[in-house]
Amino acid sequence: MHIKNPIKKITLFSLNCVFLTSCGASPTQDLFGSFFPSWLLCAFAGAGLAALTRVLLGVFRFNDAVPLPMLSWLAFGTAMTLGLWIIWIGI
Amino acid sequence: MMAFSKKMMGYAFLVASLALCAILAVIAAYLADRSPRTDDAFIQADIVNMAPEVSGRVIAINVRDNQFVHRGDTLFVIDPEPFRYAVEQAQADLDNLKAELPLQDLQIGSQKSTAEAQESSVEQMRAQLALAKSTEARLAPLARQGFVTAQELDQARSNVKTSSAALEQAIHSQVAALKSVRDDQPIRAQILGMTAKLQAAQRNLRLTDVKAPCDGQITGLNIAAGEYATEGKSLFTIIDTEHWWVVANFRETQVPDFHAGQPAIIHVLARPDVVVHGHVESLGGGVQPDVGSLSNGLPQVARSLNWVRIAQRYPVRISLDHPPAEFMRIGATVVATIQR
Repeated sequence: MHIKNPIKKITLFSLNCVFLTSCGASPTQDLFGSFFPSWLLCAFAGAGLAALTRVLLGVFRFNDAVPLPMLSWLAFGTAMTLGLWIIWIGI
Repeated sequence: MMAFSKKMMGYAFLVASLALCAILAVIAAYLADRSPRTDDAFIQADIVNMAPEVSGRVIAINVRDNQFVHRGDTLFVIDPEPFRYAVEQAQADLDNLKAELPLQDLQIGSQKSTAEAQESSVEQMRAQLALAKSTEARLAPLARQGFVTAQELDQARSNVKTSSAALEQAIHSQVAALKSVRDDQPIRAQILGMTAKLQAAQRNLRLTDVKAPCDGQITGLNIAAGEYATEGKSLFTIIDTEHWWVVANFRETQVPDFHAGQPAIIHVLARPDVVVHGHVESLGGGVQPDVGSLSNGLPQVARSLNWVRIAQRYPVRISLDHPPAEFMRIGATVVATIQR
């Protein structure tokens, strides 16, 4: 099944990465007529997840407790990126 | 107490994030090393530039651009008329030579008979000379005793000389007759040459019907019937669809770990969800270097201060096992992953 709509594609990609242990998909994806590497898409998703987590923790007033916020969130976002990429390329 | 607990959880979050980041980085590096991949890769196939082997006016084109053809299908036809005339001319010349051969053999037989007759003549002259010599030998003592006149002895001596001259003449005639006996090898050689000429003309006539050398797809066809086709000049191209492979440009640091037969996975980016399996067929032996060329007979060396060198890439040829025909196009972008 080939999905033309990039929004649907990103959504499906995210769901795949969350729910599948190994999707074995192409390392490069077609978005807006250009081929993007999977690590770049994973970096966007990782940054988004980190931002979402920070917002959620903010609701519970936990943000102030995180020391060295720049380093903490950068490490968290990078870990998310690497985790998604490992799932993407398959273990 | 609550604030302390939150602070501890905050530190735990930082440490866990850093640790997770390090562990996943190691795993990612291991996976990337286990399955080297590149998106600097494309699909490739053999192409055949369809050039006629004979020149002439194209009278029919049986295919259209992008059409699939099978091996042996007639692609286009060159006007066969002049080639048919050439065949007829060569056939007539050959028949003529073959007709000459019996006549030549008759002549040779006649010449041999003449030579044999000259040989008999030589024998006859030898016999005459022997008779003349014996006559002279008999008459010489008789002449000294006066039983034979001097005139008769002179006549006998004259006969010896005459017979000797006649023998010489007969020998020369025999030699000339033997030399004049001709051989039929030249005409037989001419027949062989003319047979080859006829076969070449028949081949040229056959080549006016240009056929597909393989299963494939026509491309670059933009001519119509009436175009003058020149021998050796391509009119269009056939993509050989029987064999497809991928040219994947891997970094020089990765290539030494590859060898022929390694399995490979190909993602055709036209349909990234389609996986095509293949195997490494061969490794590229070299590429054009950026530096080292000669300029005016001297090596051209650029002055540079490059601390970071970009790794050279070498083409690795990956043969596709069961390529899906609908995605196979020369130059199509793919991602190639070698499985180690």
